[in-house]
Amino acid sequence: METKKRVVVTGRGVISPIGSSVSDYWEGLCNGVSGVRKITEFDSSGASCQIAGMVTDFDSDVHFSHREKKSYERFTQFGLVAALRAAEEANLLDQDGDSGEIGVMMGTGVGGITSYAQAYDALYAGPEERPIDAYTIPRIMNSAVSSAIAIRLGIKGPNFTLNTACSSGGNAVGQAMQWIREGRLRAVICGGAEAPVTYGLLRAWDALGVLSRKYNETPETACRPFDKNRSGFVLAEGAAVLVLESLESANKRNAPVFGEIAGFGSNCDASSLTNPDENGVAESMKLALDDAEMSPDSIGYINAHGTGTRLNDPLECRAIHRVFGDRSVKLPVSSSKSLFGHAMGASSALEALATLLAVQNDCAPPTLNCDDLDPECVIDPVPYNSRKVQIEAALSNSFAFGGSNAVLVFRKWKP
Amino acid sequence: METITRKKIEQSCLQTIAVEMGLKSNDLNTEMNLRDDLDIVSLDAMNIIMALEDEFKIEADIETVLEMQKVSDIIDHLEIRINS
Repeated sequence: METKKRVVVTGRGVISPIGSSVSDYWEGLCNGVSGVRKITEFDSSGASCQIAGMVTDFDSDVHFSHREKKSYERFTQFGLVAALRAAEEANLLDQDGDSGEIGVMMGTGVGGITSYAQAYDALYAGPEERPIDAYTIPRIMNSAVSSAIAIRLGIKGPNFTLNTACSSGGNAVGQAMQWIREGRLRAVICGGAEAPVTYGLLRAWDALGVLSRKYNETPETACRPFDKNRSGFVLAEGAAVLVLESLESANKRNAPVFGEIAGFGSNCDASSLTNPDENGVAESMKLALDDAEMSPDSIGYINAHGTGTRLNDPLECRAIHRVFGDRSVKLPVSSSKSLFGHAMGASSALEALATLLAVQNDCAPPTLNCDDLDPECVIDPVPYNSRKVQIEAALSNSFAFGGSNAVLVFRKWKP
Repeated sequence: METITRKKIEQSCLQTIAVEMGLKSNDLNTEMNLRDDLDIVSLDAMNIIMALEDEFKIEADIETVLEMQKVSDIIDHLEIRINS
Protein backbone atom coordinates (compact mmCIF):
# COMPACT_ATOMS: atom_id res chain seq x y z
CA MET A 1 0.00 0.00 0.00
CA GLU A 2 1.30 3.42 -0.90
CA THR A 3 2.41 5.50 2.10
CA LYS A 4 0.44 8.70 2.56
CA LYS A 5 2.40 11.88 1.98
CA ARG A 6 3.03 13.57 5.34
CA VAL A 7 1.57 17.04 5.80
CA VAL A 8 2.88 19.46 8.42
CA VAL A 9 1.87 22.85 9.79
CA THR A 10 4.46 25.52 9.07
CA GLY A 11 2.52 28.72 9.76
CA ARG A 12 -0.25 29.94 12.05
CA GLY A 13 -2.31 33.08 12.35
CA VAL A 14 -5.30 34.03 14.47
CA ILE A 15 -7.72 36.85 15.21
CA SER A 16 -9.96 36.00 18.15
CA PRO A 17 -11.95 37.42 21.05
CA ILE A 18 -9.29 36.12 23.46
CA GLY A 19 -6.20 37.24 21.60
CA SER A 20 -4.97 38.06 18.13
CA SER A 21 -1.51 36.57 18.15
CA VAL A 22 -0.79 32.86 18.52
CA SER A 23 0.88 33.40 21.90
CA ASP A 24 -1.96 35.59 23.23
CA TYR A 25 -4.52 33.10 21.96
CA TRP A 26 -2.80 30.19 23.65
CA GLU A 27 -2.36 32.18 26.87
CA GLY A 28 -6.05 33.11 26.76
CA LEU A 29 -7.06 29.48 26.21
CA CYS A 30 -4.92 28.21 29.07
CA ASN A 31 -5.76 30.97 31.51
CA GLY A 32 -9.47 30.56 30.89
CA VAL A 33 -10.08 34.25 30.22
CA SER A 34 -13.47 34.77 28.61
CA GLY A 35 -13.81 36.82 25.42
CA VAL A 36 -17.60 37.03 25.71
CA ARG A 37 -19.03 40.46 26.51
CA LYS A 38 -22.03 42.74 26.11
CA ILE A 39 -22.65 43.74 22.48
CA THR A 40 -21.99 47.47 22.10
CA GLU A 41 -21.60 47.62 18.31
CA PHE A 42 -25.38 47.97 17.83
CA ASP A 43 -28.53 48.11 19.94
CA SER A 44 -29.23 44.50 20.87
CA SER A 45 -31.91 45.27 23.46
CA GLY A 46 -34.62 43.63 21.33
CA ALA A 47 -32.81 40.30 21.41
CA SER A 48 -32.98 37.78 24.21
CA CYS A 49 -29.26 37.17 23.92
CA GLN A 50 -27.33 40.45 24.07
CA ILE A 51 -23.77 39.14 24.36
CA ALA A 52 -21.17 37.78 21.97
CA GLY A 53 -17.51 36.88 21.59
CA MET A 54 -16.20 40.06 19.98
CA VAL A 55 -12.73 40.87 18.69
CA THR A 56 -11.77 44.10 20.43
CA ASP A 57 -8.14 44.60 19.43
CA PHE A 58 -8.48 44.71 15.64
CA ASP A 59 -7.84 48.11 14.04
CA SER A 60 -8.51 47.84 10.31
CA ASP A 61 -6.70 51.18 9.72
CA VAL A 62 -3.47 49.48 10.76
CA HIS A 63 -3.82 46.73 8.17
CA PHE A 64 -5.68 48.15 5.20
CA SER A 65 -5.79 51.02 2.73
CA HIS A 66 -8.97 53.03 2.28
CA ARG A 67 -9.83 51.01 -0.84
CA GLU A 68 -9.18 47.68 0.90
CA LYS A 69 -11.44 48.71 3.78
CA LYS A 70 -14.19 49.51 1.27
CA SER A 71 -13.64 46.24 -0.60
CA TYR A 72 -13.15 43.82 2.30
CA GLU A 73 -15.82 43.14 4.85
CA ARG A 74 -14.87 42.34 8.42
CA PHE A 75 -14.72 38.56 7.92
CA THR A 76 -12.43 39.02 4.91
CA GLN A 77 -10.24 41.42 6.86
CA PHE A 78 -9.92 38.90 9.71
CA GLY A 79 -9.09 36.05 7.35
CA LEU A 80 -6.58 38.09 5.36
CA VAL A 81 -4.68 39.35 8.40
CA ALA A 82 -4.58 35.86 9.94
CA ALA A 83 -3.33 34.48 6.60
CA LEU A 84 -0.62 37.12 6.27
CA ARG A 85 0.65 36.25 9.73
CA ALA A 86 0.60 32.52 8.98
CA ALA A 87 2.41 33.02 5.67
CA GLU A 88 4.96 35.25 7.37
CA GLU A 89 5.59 32.74 10.13
CA ALA A 90 6.05 30.01 7.51
CA ASN A 91 8.23 32.31 5.41
CA LEU A 92 6.19 30.74 2.64
CA LEU A 93 6.80 33.06 -0.25
CA ASP A 94 10.20 33.98 -1.58
CA GLN A 95 10.81 36.91 -3.87
CA ASP A 96 9.90 34.86 -6.92
CA GLY A 97 6.33 34.43 -5.59
CA ASP A 98 4.13 31.47 -6.41
CA SER A 99 3.91 29.79 -9.77
CA GLY A 100 0.79 27.79 -8.94
CA GLU A 101 2.15 25.31 -6.40
CA ILE A 102 0.33 26.94 -3.49
CA GLY A 103 -3.44 27.01 -2.93
CA VAL A 104 -5.91 28.77 -0.68
CA MET A 105 -8.80 26.95 0.95
CA MET A 106 -10.89 28.96 3.41
CA GLY A 107 -14.21 28.33 5.13
CA THR A 108 -16.96 30.69 6.17
CA GLY A 109 -20.55 30.22 7.22
CA VAL A 110 -22.32 33.50 6.56
CA GLY A 111 -19.65 35.52 4.74
CA GLY A 112 -20.44 39.17 4.20
CA ILE A 113 -23.62 39.29 6.22
CA THR A 114 -23.03 42.86 7.44
CA SER A 115 -23.16 44.12 3.87
CA TYR A 116 -26.40 42.25 3.23
CA ALA A 117 -27.84 44.04 6.26
CA GLN A 118 -26.57 47.42 5.06
CA ALA A 119 -28.00 46.87 1.58
CA TYR A 120 -31.42 45.96 2.94
CA ASP A 121 -31.28 48.91 5.33
CA ALA A 122 -30.62 51.21 2.35
CA LEU A 123 -33.75 49.89 0.68
CA TYR A 124 -36.13 49.40 3.56
CA ALA A 125 -34.98 51.11 6.77
CA GLY A 126 -35.79 54.73 5.86
CA PRO A 127 -38.80 56.52 4.44
CA GLU A 128 -37.10 56.46 1.02
CA GLU A 129 -34.62 54.15 -0.65
CA ARG A 130 -30.96 55.17 -0.44
CA PRO A 131 -28.28 54.14 -2.93
CA ILE A 132 -26.75 50.72 -2.41
CA ASP A 133 -22.97 50.79 -2.07
CA ALA A 134 -21.26 49.68 -5.29
CA TYR A 135 -18.88 47.55 -3.19
CA THR A 136 -21.75 45.48 -1.76
CA ILE A 137 -21.31 42.45 -4.02
CA PRO A 138 -17.53 42.06 -3.53
CA ARG A 139 -18.03 42.52 0.20
CA ILE A 140 -20.84 39.94 0.39
CA MET A 141 -19.07 37.20 -1.60
CA ASN A 142 -18.02 34.29 0.61
CA SER A 143 -15.07 33.75 -1.68
CA ALA A 144 -13.79 37.27 -1.08
CA VAL A 145 -11.70 35.93 1.78
CA SER A 146 -9.77 33.35 -0.23
CA SER A 147 -9.46 35.75 -3.17
CA ALA A 148 -8.14 38.55 -0.96
CA ILE A 149 -5.44 36.24 0.40
CA ALA A 150 -4.37 35.23 -3.09
CA ILE A 151 -4.40 38.81 -4.37
CA ARG A 152 -2.29 40.14 -1.50
CA LEU A 153 0.22 37.28 -1.56
CA GLY A 154 0.22 36.54 -5.30
CA ILE A 155 -0.84 32.92 -4.83
CA LYS A 156 -1.83 31.42 -8.15
CA GLY A 157 -2.93 27.87 -7.27
CA PRO A 158 -6.53 26.71 -6.72
CA ASN A 159 -8.57 29.15 -4.67
CA PHE A 160 -11.67 28.05 -2.80
CA THR A 161 -13.93 29.20 -0.01
CA LEU A 162 -16.16 26.37 1.12
CA ASN A 163 -19.28 26.50 3.23
CA THR A 164 -20.41 23.62 5.40
CA ALA A 165 -21.96 25.86 8.06
CA CYS A 166 -20.22 25.46 11.42
CA SER A 167 -17.69 22.90 10.21
CA SER A 168 -16.50 25.09 7.30
CA GLY A 169 -13.07 25.85 8.73
CA GLY A 170 -12.45 22.22 9.70
CA ASN A 171 -13.46 20.95 6.30
CA ALA A 172 -11.27 23.62 4.67
CA VAL A 173 -8.22 22.47 6.63
CA GLY A 174 -9.01 18.83 5.89
CA GLN A 175 -9.51 19.42 2.17
CA ALA A 176 -6.28 21.41 2.06
CA MET A 177 -4.48 18.41 3.57
CA GLN A 178 -5.95 16.19 0.85
CA TRP A 179 -4.71 18.50 -1.91
CA ILE A 180 -1.18 18.21 -0.55
CA ARG A 181 -1.40 14.46 0.03
CA GLU A 182 -2.50 14.00 -3.57
CA GLY A 183 0.66 15.80 -4.65
CA ARG A 184 -1.35 18.47 -6.39
CA LEU A 185 0.14 21.34 -4.33
CA ARG A 186 3.17 21.80 -2.11
CA ALA A 187 1.41 24.11 0.36
CA VAL A 188 -2.06 25.46 1.13
CA ILE A 189 -3.12 28.44 3.21
CA CYS A 190 -6.29 27.27 4.90
CA GLY A 191 -8.68 28.01 7.75
CA GLY A 192 -11.85 29.89 8.50
CA ALA A 193 -13.08 33.44 8.96
CA GLU A 194 -16.35 34.83 10.26
CA ALA A 195 -17.87 38.08 11.51
CA PRO A 196 -21.52 37.13 12.01
CA VAL A 197 -22.58 39.39 14.86
CA THR A 198 -25.39 41.44 13.34
CA TYR A 199 -28.77 42.18 14.84
CA GLY A 200 -30.61 40.17 12.19
CA LEU A 201 -28.48 37.08 12.64
CA LEU A 202 -28.63 37.39 16.41
CA ARG A 203 -32.43 37.34 16.21
CA ALA A 204 -32.42 34.50 13.68
CA TRP A 205 -30.24 32.26 15.87
CA ASP A 206 -32.31 33.27 18.87
CA ALA A 207 -35.43 32.14 17.02
CA LEU A 208 -33.94 28.65 16.88
CA GLY A 209 -33.75 28.62 20.66
CA VAL A 210 -30.06 27.75 20.75
CA LEU A 211 -28.59 31.00 22.09
CA SER A 212 -27.87 31.49 25.78
CA ARG A 213 -30.47 33.90 27.19
CA LYS A 214 -29.92 33.71 30.92
CA TYR A 215 -26.52 35.23 31.36
CA ASN A 216 -26.69 38.70 29.76
CA GLU A 217 -25.49 40.31 32.99
CA THR A 218 -22.59 37.90 33.42
CA PRO A 219 -21.44 37.26 29.83
CA GLU A 220 -18.33 35.34 30.85
CA THR A 221 -20.55 32.64 32.40
CA ALA A 222 -22.92 32.30 29.43
CA CYS A 223 -21.33 29.49 27.45
CA ARG A 224 -21.36 26.40 29.68
CA PRO A 225 -20.55 23.26 27.69
CA PHE A 226 -21.24 19.98 29.52
CA ASP A 227 -22.66 21.84 32.54
CA LYS A 228 -26.09 20.90 33.89
CA ASN A 229 -27.22 24.53 33.62
CA ARG A 230 -26.06 25.17 30.07
CA SER A 231 -28.56 27.10 28.02
CA GLY A 232 -26.97 27.46 24.60
CA PHE A 233 -24.11 29.25 22.88
CA VAL A 234 -23.27 32.84 22.04
CA LEU A 235 -22.20 34.11 18.63
CA ALA A 236 -18.57 34.99 18.11
CA GLU A 237 -16.25 36.36 15.43
CA GLY A 238 -12.67 35.71 14.41
CA ALA A 239 -10.39 33.81 12.07
CA ALA A 240 -7.68 31.21 12.23
CA VAL A 241 -5.39 30.24 9.38
CA LEU A 242 -2.77 27.53 9.03
CA VAL A 243 -0.13 26.98 6.40
CA LEU A 244 -0.14 23.28 5.58
CA GLU A 245 2.79 21.99 3.62
CA SER A 246 4.16 18.71 2.38
CA LEU A 247 6.97 17.50 4.62
CA GLU A 248 9.17 17.40 1.55
CA SER A 249 8.58 21.09 0.83
CA ALA A 250 8.99 22.11 4.47
CA ASN A 251 12.29 20.23 4.74
CA LYS A 252 13.55 21.69 1.49
CA ARG A 253 12.91 25.21 2.77
CA ASN A 254 14.00 24.54 6.37
CA ALA A 255 10.57 25.80 7.40
CA PRO A 256 9.52 25.76 11.05
CA VAL A 257 7.25 22.79 11.82
CA PHE A 258 4.63 23.16 14.56
CA GLY A 259 2.90 19.81 14.20
CA GLU A 260 1.60 17.26 11.77
CA ILE A 261 -1.92 16.98 10.47
CA ALA A 262 -2.39 13.26 10.32
CA GLY A 263 -6.04 12.59 9.61
CA PHE A 264 -9.33 14.00 8.40
CA GLY A 265 -12.79 12.54 8.83
CA SER A 266 -15.54 14.18 6.81
CA ASN A 267 -19.04 12.84 6.44
CA CYS A 268 -22.70 13.75 6.56
CA ASP A 269 -25.34 12.59 9.05
CA ALA A 270 -27.87 12.68 6.19
CA SER A 271 -30.65 12.93 8.72
CA SER A 272 -31.57 16.51 9.66
CA LEU A 273 -30.79 20.12 8.77
CA THR A 274 -30.63 21.15 12.41
CA ASN A 275 -30.24 18.14 14.69
CA PRO A 276 -26.96 16.24 14.98
CA ASP A 277 -26.95 12.46 14.70
CA GLU A 278 -24.93 10.31 17.07
CA ASN A 279 -24.09 7.72 14.42
CA GLY A 280 -22.75 10.32 11.99
CA VAL A 281 -20.79 12.13 14.68
CA ALA A 282 -19.16 8.92 15.95
CA GLU A 283 -18.44 7.81 12.40
CA SER A 284 -16.64 11.08 11.60
CA MET A 285 -14.25 10.50 14.52
CA LYS A 286 -13.64 6.92 13.38
CA LEU A 287 -12.99 8.09 9.81
CA ALA A 288 -10.43 10.62 11.05
CA LEU A 289 -8.62 7.98 13.11
CA ASP A 290 -8.68 5.51 10.22
CA ASP A 291 -7.33 8.17 7.88
CA ALA A 292 -4.51 8.86 10.34
CA GLU A 293 -3.95 5.12 10.70
CA MET A 294 -4.12 5.58 14.46
CA SER A 295 -6.01 3.77 17.20
CA PRO A 296 -8.23 5.61 19.70
CA ASP A 297 -5.60 4.84 22.35
CA SER A 298 -3.19 7.17 20.56
CA ILE A 299 -5.39 10.19 21.27
CA GLY A 300 -4.53 12.18 24.39
CA TYR A 301 -6.98 15.05 24.07
CA ILE A 302 -10.17 16.01 22.25
CA ASN A 303 -11.10 19.58 21.46
CA ALA A 304 -14.86 19.09 21.41
CA HIS A 305 -17.45 20.73 19.23
CA GLY A 306 -18.93 21.49 22.67
CA THR A 307 -21.50 24.15 21.83
CA GLY A 308 -23.19 24.24 25.24
CA THR A 309 -26.62 23.49 23.75
CA ARG A 310 -28.95 21.00 25.42
CA LEU A 311 -28.78 18.70 22.42
CA ASN A 312 -25.15 18.72 21.29
CA ASP A 313 -23.17 18.06 24.43
CA PRO A 314 -24.61 14.72 25.65
CA LEU A 315 -24.81 13.47 22.07
CA GLU A 316 -21.16 14.32 21.43
CA CYS A 317 -20.17 12.64 24.72
CA ARG A 318 -22.08 9.47 23.80
CA ALA A 319 -20.39 9.46 20.39
CA ILE A 320 -16.97 9.86 22.05
CA HIS A 321 -17.82 6.91 24.30
CA ARG A 322 -18.71 4.82 21.28
CA VAL A 323 -15.30 5.49 19.74
CA PHE A 324 -13.11 5.55 22.84
CA GLY A 325 -14.98 3.13 25.08
CA ASP A 326 -14.42 3.27 28.82
CA ARG A 327 -11.30 5.37 28.28
CA SER A 328 -13.55 8.32 27.39
CA VAL A 329 -14.29 8.85 31.08
CA LYS A 330 -10.67 9.83 31.70
CA LEU A 331 -9.83 11.39 28.37
CA PRO A 332 -9.41 15.19 28.59
CA VAL A 333 -12.19 16.72 26.45
CA SER A 334 -12.62 20.49 26.52
CA SER A 335 -14.62 23.09 24.66
CA SER A 336 -12.90 26.28 23.52
CA LYS A 337 -16.34 27.75 22.78
CA SER A 338 -16.73 28.13 26.54
CA LEU A 339 -14.12 30.90 26.32
CA PHE A 340 -15.04 32.81 23.22
CA GLY A 341 -18.36 31.56 21.90
CA HIS A 342 -19.29 30.05 18.57
CA ALA A 343 -17.66 31.69 15.57
CA MET A 344 -19.73 29.69 13.06
CA GLY A 345 -17.58 28.82 10.03
CA ALA A 346 -14.43 30.06 11.76
CA SER A 347 -14.99 28.09 14.96
CA SER A 348 -13.55 24.83 13.68
CA ALA A 349 -10.46 26.64 12.37
CA LEU A 350 -9.98 28.40 15.71
CA GLU A 351 -10.40 25.07 17.45
CA ALA A 352 -8.03 23.31 15.04
CA LEU A 353 -5.39 25.83 16.07
CA ALA A 354 -6.24 25.25 19.75
CA THR A 355 -5.82 21.50 19.20
CA LEU A 356 -2.50 21.94 17.41
CA LEU A 357 -1.27 24.13 20.29
CA ALA A 358 -2.44 21.58 22.86
CA VAL A 359 -0.36 18.90 21.13
CA GLN A 360 2.62 21.21 20.78
CA ASN A 361 2.56 22.17 24.45
CA ASP A 362 1.39 18.92 26.06
CA CYS A 363 -1.38 20.87 27.69
CA ALA A 364 -5.17 20.49 27.61
CA PRO A 365 -6.87 23.91 27.72
CA PRO A 366 -9.88 24.07 30.05
CA THR A 367 -13.65 24.24 29.69
CA LEU A 368 -15.01 27.32 31.45
CA ASN A 369 -18.22 27.34 33.47
CA CYS A 370 -18.57 23.60 33.85
CA ASP A 371 -19.54 23.95 37.51
CA ASP A 372 -21.77 20.94 37.69
CA LEU A 373 -21.05 18.26 35.11
CA ASP A 374 -24.21 16.98 33.44
CA PRO A 375 -24.45 13.27 34.35
CA GLU A 376 -25.29 12.64 30.68
CA CYS A 377 -21.86 13.99 29.75
CA VAL A 378 -19.56 11.24 30.90
CA ILE A 379 -16.19 12.80 30.05
CA ASP A 380 -13.40 14.71 31.78
CA PRO A 381 -14.15 18.33 30.73
CA VAL A 382 -10.91 19.78 32.15
CA PRO A 383 -12.87 22.28 34.24
CA TYR A 384 -11.49 25.81 34.73
CA ASN A 385 -7.75 25.12 34.74
CA SER A 386 -5.55 23.91 31.94
CA ARG A 387 -3.80 20.63 32.57
CA LYS A 388 -0.31 19.47 31.67
CA VAL A 389 -0.72 16.05 30.12
CA GLN A 390 1.24 14.05 27.55
CA ILE A 391 -0.53 14.54 24.20
CA GLU A 392 0.95 12.64 21.28
CA ALA A 393 -2.10 13.30 19.15
CA ALA A 394 -5.47 14.99 19.49
CA LEU A 395 -8.82 15.33 17.75
CA SER A 396 -10.58 18.54 16.79
CA ASN A 397 -14.32 17.89 16.45
CA SER A 398 -16.72 20.01 14.39
CA PHE A 399 -20.33 19.14 13.68
CA ALA A 400 -22.49 21.44 11.61
CA PHE A 401 -26.10 22.13 10.77
CA GLY A 402 -26.94 20.02 7.77
CA GLY A 403 -25.06 17.14 9.39
CA SER A 404 -21.74 18.04 7.82
CA ASN A 405 -19.05 16.79 10.20
CA ALA A 406 -15.32 17.47 10.10
CA VAL A 407 -12.83 15.88 12.47
CA LEU A 408 -9.10 16.59 12.27
CA VAL A 409 -6.23 14.65 13.84
CA PHE A 410 -3.11 16.57 14.85
CA ARG A 411 0.01 14.66 15.83
CA LYS A 412 3.11 15.85 17.66
CA TRP A 413 5.88 16.63 15.24
CA LYS A 414 8.54 13.96 15.11
CA PRO A 415 10.97 14.21 12.20
CA MET B 1 -37.91 75.92 -8.52
CA GLU B 2 -34.68 76.98 -6.80
CA THR B 3 -31.74 77.25 -9.21
CA ILE B 4 -28.77 75.08 -8.39
CA THR B 5 -25.61 76.98 -9.18
CA ARG B 6 -22.49 75.47 -10.72
CA LYS B 7 -20.66 76.47 -7.52
CA LYS B 8 -23.06 74.35 -5.47
CA ILE B 9 -22.65 71.36 -7.84
CA GLU B 10 -18.88 71.73 -7.64
CA GLN B 11 -18.93 71.81 -3.82
CA SER B 12 -21.13 68.73 -3.64
CA CYS B 13 -19.05 66.89 -6.19
CA LEU B 14 -15.75 67.57 -4.42
CA GLN B 15 -17.26 66.71 -1.04
CA THR B 16 -18.73 63.43 -2.34
CA ILE B 17 -15.43 62.43 -3.95
CA ALA B 18 -13.58 63.26 -0.71
CA VAL B 19 -15.90 61.09 1.39
CA GLU B 20 -15.78 58.16 -1.02
CA MET B 21 -12.02 58.25 -1.43
CA GLY B 22 -11.10 59.07 2.17
CA LEU B 23 -9.58 62.44 1.18
CA LYS B 24 -9.97 66.05 2.32
CA SER B 25 -12.13 68.13 -0.02
CA ASN B 26 -9.73 71.08 0.37
CA ASP B 27 -7.05 68.98 -1.29
CA LEU B 28 -9.18 68.44 -4.39
CA ASN B 29 -9.72 70.64 -7.45
CA THR B 30 -11.83 70.38 -10.54
CA GLU B 31 -8.90 69.84 -12.90
CA MET B 32 -7.80 66.63 -11.23
CA ASN B 33 -7.78 63.47 -13.31
CA LEU B 34 -10.17 60.91 -11.84
CA ARG B 35 -7.89 57.91 -12.28
CA ASP B 36 -4.35 59.29 -12.26
CA ASP B 37 -4.77 61.87 -9.49
CA LEU B 38 -7.59 60.42 -7.42
CA ASP B 39 -7.29 56.66 -8.03
CA ILE B 40 -11.02 56.42 -8.73
CA VAL B 41 -12.03 53.04 -10.20
CA SER B 42 -15.42 52.12 -11.60
CA LEU B 43 -16.96 51.06 -8.25
CA ASP B 44 -15.86 54.33 -6.62
CA ALA B 45 -17.29 56.25 -9.59
CA MET B 46 -20.58 54.40 -9.20
CA ASN B 47 -20.79 55.31 -5.53
CA ILE B 48 -19.93 58.95 -6.27
CA ILE B 49 -22.46 59.30 -9.04
CA MET B 50 -25.22 57.49 -7.11
CA ALA B 51 -24.73 59.82 -4.14
CA LEU B 52 -24.91 62.87 -6.42
CA GLU B 53 -27.98 61.48 -8.22
CA ASP B 54 -29.60 61.08 -4.81
CA GLU B 55 -28.68 64.57 -3.71
CA PHE B 56 -29.82 66.35 -6.85
CA LYS B 57 -32.72 64.03 -7.68
CA ILE B 58 -31.50 63.38 -11.20
CA GLU B 59 -30.44 60.39 -13.23
CA ALA B 60 -26.95 60.52 -14.70
CA ASP B 61 -25.81 58.67 -17.79
CA ILE B 62 -23.64 56.02 -16.15
CA GLU B 63 -21.77 55.00 -19.29
CA THR B 64 -20.84 58.59 -19.97
CA VAL B 65 -19.74 59.16 -16.39
CA LEU B 66 -17.53 56.07 -16.39
CA GLU B 67 -15.65 57.42 -19.41
CA MET B 68 -15.00 60.86 -17.91
CA GLN B 69 -11.45 62.02 -17.30
CA LYS B 70 -11.60 65.00 -14.97
CA VAL B 71 -13.67 66.15 -12.00
CA SER B 72 -14.93 69.07 -14.11
CA ASP B 73 -16.37 66.57 -16.63
CA ILE B 74 -18.66 65.21 -13.90
CA ILE B 75 -19.68 68.72 -12.90
CA ASP B 76 -20.45 69.59 -16.56
CA HIS B 77 -22.58 66.47 -16.91
CA LEU B 78 -24.47 67.09 -13.68
CA GLU B 79 -25.10 70.73 -14.59
CA ILE B 80 -26.67 69.73 -17.90
CA ARG B 81 -28.81 67.03 -16.25
CA ILE B 82 -29.95 69.29 -13.42
CA ASN B 83 -30.90 72.16 -15.70
CA SER B 84 -32.48 70.15 -18.47
